[in-house]
Amino acid sequence: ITAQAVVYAQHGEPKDVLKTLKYEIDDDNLDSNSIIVKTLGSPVNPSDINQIQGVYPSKPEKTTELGSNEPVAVCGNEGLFEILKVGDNVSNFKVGDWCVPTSVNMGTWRTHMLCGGDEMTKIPNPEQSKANGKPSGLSVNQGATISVNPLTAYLMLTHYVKLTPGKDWFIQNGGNSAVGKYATQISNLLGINSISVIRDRPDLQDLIKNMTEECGATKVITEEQNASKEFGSEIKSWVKETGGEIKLALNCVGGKNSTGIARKLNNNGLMLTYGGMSMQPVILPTSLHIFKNITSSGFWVTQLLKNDVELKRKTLGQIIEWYENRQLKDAPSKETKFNPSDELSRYYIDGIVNSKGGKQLIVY
Amino acid sequence: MVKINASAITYTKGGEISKILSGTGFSIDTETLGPKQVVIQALATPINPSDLNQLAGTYASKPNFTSELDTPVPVAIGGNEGLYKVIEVGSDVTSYKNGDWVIPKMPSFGTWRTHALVTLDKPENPDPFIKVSSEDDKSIDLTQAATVSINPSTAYQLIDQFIKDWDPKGNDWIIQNGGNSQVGKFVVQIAKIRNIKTISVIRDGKPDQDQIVKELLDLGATKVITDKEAESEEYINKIVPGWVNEGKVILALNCVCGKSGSALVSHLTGNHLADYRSPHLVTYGGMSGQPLMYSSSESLFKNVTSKAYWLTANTKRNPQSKVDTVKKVLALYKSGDIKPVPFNGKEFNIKSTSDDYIKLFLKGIAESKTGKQVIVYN
Repeated sequence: ITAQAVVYAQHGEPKDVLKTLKYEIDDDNLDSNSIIVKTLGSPVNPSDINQIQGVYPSKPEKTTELGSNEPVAVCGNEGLFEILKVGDNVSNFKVGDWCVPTSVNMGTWRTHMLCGGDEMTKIPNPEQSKANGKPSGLSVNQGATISVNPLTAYLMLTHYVKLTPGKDWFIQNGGNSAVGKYATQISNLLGINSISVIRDRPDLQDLIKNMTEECGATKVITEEQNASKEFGSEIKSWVKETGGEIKLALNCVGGKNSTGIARKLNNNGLMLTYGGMSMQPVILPTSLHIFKNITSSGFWVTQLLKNDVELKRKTLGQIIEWYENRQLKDAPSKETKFNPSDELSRYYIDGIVNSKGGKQLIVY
Repeated sequence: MVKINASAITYTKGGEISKILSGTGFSIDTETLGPKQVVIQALATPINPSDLNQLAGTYASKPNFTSELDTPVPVAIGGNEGLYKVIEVGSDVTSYKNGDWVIPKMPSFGTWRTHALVTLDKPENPDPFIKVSSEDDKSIDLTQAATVSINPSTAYQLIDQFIKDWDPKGNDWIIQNGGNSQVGKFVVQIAKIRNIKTISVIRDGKPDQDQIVKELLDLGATKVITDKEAESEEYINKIVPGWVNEGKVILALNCVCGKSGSALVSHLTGNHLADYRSPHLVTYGGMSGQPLMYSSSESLFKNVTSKAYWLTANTKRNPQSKVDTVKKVLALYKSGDIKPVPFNGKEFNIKSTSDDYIKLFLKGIAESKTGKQVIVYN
């Protein structure tokens, strides 16, 4: 098999350092514990770009395994693959199965991969879902983007704080982000009330309507309302009505916005920070922190799941079930189909540029 | 003894400290002492920053208002910490005897008074005191007992409450700002006996800096650096990691906030090797007046947990925790493992008037900025 991969030997700006590496996979002499997969789709995530730039703490190893002259790393951490060939000792896969990488740093921006059978985790392909009587099978986009955003949203809502369905609330900024929309939908599925903070915009009412009807958002508020003291008492009355508490705040923005959502927390509440889009620090007034006993922690899905394969398996299973039952909608990506006669790196270099306008997925 | 003339520092509502405080004289009649009552007399009453915040009305733990001083309107008595001697006990009191040294267990006792009449066995606070010593037991002296309730207890709980699994081989580090504070000085002493290394951050540019550094090193600090150094790239990326080497800066104690607090987060060690314990930033004060702020990416990539610590809340939630901590600190004094941190004593003659009493307190409060003040009674 002739394969292509997008690689870098040095860190730097993607357009300068990314190269296409062409290599051969010998499918006649497959190691008995290995598998060969072909890529169905792999997205461009912000963390992939940071990794290429060298500013991300989790880094793939650089090797000459693919036959390059100098050691290189293959880009990408997320992707959906289909099994082409299975080694004699591999029992968990058969040809045609779908799978996603078990851990990060696998290098998913490539057409094919030779890897160990344990380096991939099986997910159902559409025929299997249908055979199991499920209303729907996973789309390529759902499979290729399942490992980061939906898992982040689910784990932040369930892994730290016990939220009582029907009563308790969580608040988040970046409510219109991909993770924000997953968090809203998942909280709705779990019966937990949500407050999503979004930026004011010309089509604000349309967006609020959309988030309420499509994602099941309980309440959607603007950043101005999040910062307003008067509006705080309005929120208190919502919470009082359900007899619960705002126990969790999810922060991907930072700055004043993080202060605003932290202020809404009840005593002993938790704020999880999983991003910093405003480039401002997390800001917590001292008296709020101490007198309300607020805890503020970082959340990094890579770190959490690296040491807990079982947690990853269970969480993936839950997301898959919701997709199969059409209870969860995926955040759409802009899909671009790869033409095998082209250079693969060009697709991802363009994808990185276009990422500012929305998530980019290269499909094969 | 029949009638005791006593004084208290009182106020009727929070505000500007020099304007709201009064010296109030009152009397305690020992003839009518109930069977479950005791009379205590002050030996030492500290002035703590949190007392001043409480007076200013900016503190979340509110004072109790009382009519027991026979004032026209209910008043609150200042102070949360004090050491007293039992001087009279009612006929049914078995747990205390004259000459016992006691400290109030719960916050907002109103400790700034020469005497107090206290009823034991109240359902809401059945045992209001912690006995720390007595006149026939000389193992604890006044300089140790006077401040045992807050500063060393805070230091003890800061080390105990957040990191449960300290490395027994001594590779764990604490970094703290406010290194020259009372709590800071107890932290380095207690950490040392627990085989935990410490970096104390002190304010840059103090005229007596060399002396402060020497004092902290003598108390057991592993390293002492200035806030300027702590905030510099060189210390964050090279010098401190060089000291810590294969160890881990796992706890940062913050009583300053602002830039100083964010520098502490930069010094915390992220997860490495097989050590997945989350490094903790613990905030117990905000001397800079700035909020706590720190980088989002450091927070999530280093898996930093930012927690708040408040002794008063711990004591209200679980009064026994206070008793246990004070007992542990007293044991460290008795074994000679820690020594008291000096304070500025201001002597008050117990027979003086309430006018003299308020004057002395206002002086002590004004001088608090230069170091810890304790009113000592004779």
